[in-house]
Amino acid sequence: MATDDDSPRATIGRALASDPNAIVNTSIELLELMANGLIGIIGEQGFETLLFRSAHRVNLAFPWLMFDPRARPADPEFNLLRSCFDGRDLAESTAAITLLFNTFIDILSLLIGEHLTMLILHAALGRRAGAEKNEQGAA
Amino acid sequence: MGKRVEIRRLVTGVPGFDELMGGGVPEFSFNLIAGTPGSGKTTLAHQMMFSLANPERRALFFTVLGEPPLKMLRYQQQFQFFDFDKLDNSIKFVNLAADMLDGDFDRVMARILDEVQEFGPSLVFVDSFRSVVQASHASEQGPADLQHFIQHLGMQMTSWQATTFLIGEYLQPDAEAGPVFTVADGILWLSQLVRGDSMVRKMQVVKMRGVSQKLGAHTFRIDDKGVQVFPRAVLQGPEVGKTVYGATERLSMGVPELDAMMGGGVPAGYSLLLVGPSGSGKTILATEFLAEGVRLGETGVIAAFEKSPNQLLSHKLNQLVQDGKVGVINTRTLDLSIDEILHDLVTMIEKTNAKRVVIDSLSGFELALSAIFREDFRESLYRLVAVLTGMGVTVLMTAELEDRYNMLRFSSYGNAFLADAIIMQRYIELAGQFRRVISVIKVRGSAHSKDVCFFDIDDGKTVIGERLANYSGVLSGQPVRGRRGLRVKKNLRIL
Repeated sequence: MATDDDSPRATIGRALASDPNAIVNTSIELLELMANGLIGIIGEQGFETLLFRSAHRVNLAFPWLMFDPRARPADPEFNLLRSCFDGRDLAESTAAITLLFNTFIDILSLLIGEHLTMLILHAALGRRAGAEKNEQGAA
Repeated sequence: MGKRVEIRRLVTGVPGFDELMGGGVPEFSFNLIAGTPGSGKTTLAHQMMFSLANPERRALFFTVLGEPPLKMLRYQQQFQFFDFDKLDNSIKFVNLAADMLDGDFDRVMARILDEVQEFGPSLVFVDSFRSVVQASHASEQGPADLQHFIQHLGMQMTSWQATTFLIGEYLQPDAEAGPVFTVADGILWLSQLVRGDSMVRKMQVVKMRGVSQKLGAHTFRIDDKGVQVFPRAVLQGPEVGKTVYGATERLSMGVPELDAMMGGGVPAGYSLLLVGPSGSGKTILATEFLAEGVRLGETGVIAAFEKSPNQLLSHKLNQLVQDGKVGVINTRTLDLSIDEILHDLVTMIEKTNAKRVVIDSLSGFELALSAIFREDFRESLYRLVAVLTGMGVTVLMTAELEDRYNMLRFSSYGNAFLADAIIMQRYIELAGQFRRVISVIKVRGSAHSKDVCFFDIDDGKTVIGERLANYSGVLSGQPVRGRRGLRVKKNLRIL
């Protein structure tokens, strides 16, 4: 069903739903793109603190999702996060990932406003779309 | 072709700021915006950036802090100048915290240059630069490296054809910031002064190469629109503040008998001080002065500092205001600067082409000022009067005079010398009644009546009565009729 809901949550939802069976890969890829955009603006520390806070809250509902993005050495490819999903069924993974993104987006929106959050999101998604287009072109 | 290089000015659009800078920020200059925490440095930088940045003149804003950029974005977007549409296309924020951690200047410089090369900005901001200086202390690199870094940065930015702003928190110019202060083409110093419960923001252009900037400290205000600077009124040249004494053009006060006492009205472009005790009718006479102007086709402005609009605006004045014939500057804020008031007055005078200005009253005016400005009230008032009369307007100022009857004063502030003309209202006691009397004390360069006359207020009008020709001792507040007065004197002599 077509929707014109362009809230941050809906935008993220649509991005994650693009390939339901590969939601872990899609979410990690999206997180990397958002990290690139956000770290440029609020710094690595700012991004990691936000993500840690989000993970901490998700951990209350999904105790198995436990990772600290502030840990060193840095983990720019989110391998620790990816490993949390090993052995988890798709439905549970989808629920946890959706909650993680929603929590992250909600905190970010609360701090810098929905408008600015959407600008950052669109920039990240735009880069993702651009990368996909390039891949298709190369193929 | 001229021999000198032309330095283009970037007009920031920050109200009052460009005037302060002699027309704008010099292009390709290397500037330091320094001051105490909370003095408005980042707000000023953002306001300039959002105003100046466009797809052809892009801006890079480096932050050298960890989490605070989140807060910076959170709070700065509350200002009206924060334009979301300029983010990404025209403005890019870059955080340098990670590069700054170990204080490696080469790494920081490399990162800055990479970003500059990639984004191609015309405007570069680094906030806060003090972090860079402090990082130099934390590392093995010393002041010499810092100086080299700053010189290198300045040179690089200039060669990249970028106008650069370093933003730093400094309580006062200190040794550690020395290299920055030396290398910078421009230094803006922002501060906050607190006296009593009021706080005033000040901005000073300490240095600005190649620009004829406005000297001294200037007040500024930050509200939801951002920064607004009120450049200190400086009297320049003989034409400003110059009043032609005994000017042939006279303005009627709206009271013909009083005009006659003044030798034909108040000369145009004069400052007139109307003094009197509470309730003597100063505001009523001031209103008649404005109403008469309106009747003759002249607009006016009244700055009301003492009374709320409802109290001030008599039906008569209210109608003039409603008709757009008289502009009202009404404020009861107690943290104003004289330059802010002057700015509002000049703006309204120019907007309405006003010929008559009333300041009601100097007592309220002084009270409306922040405590910091009360100390030099006389000097500030002198500048205000000079600027207004220099514009050709006639200024009527009311002043409450606490009459002690044992001494003759024309102003509570010793400000009478500022006025070109003085009218005094007083109470006297006569036959068990308070009676009002009026006299013209001075009209510079003009003959005027020396009479002391009774006057009354009737239906909102000043009605001049007979002169006190047969009385003596009027100034004592207890006049006696001439013959009786003589008897009293005789008795006194006998006694």
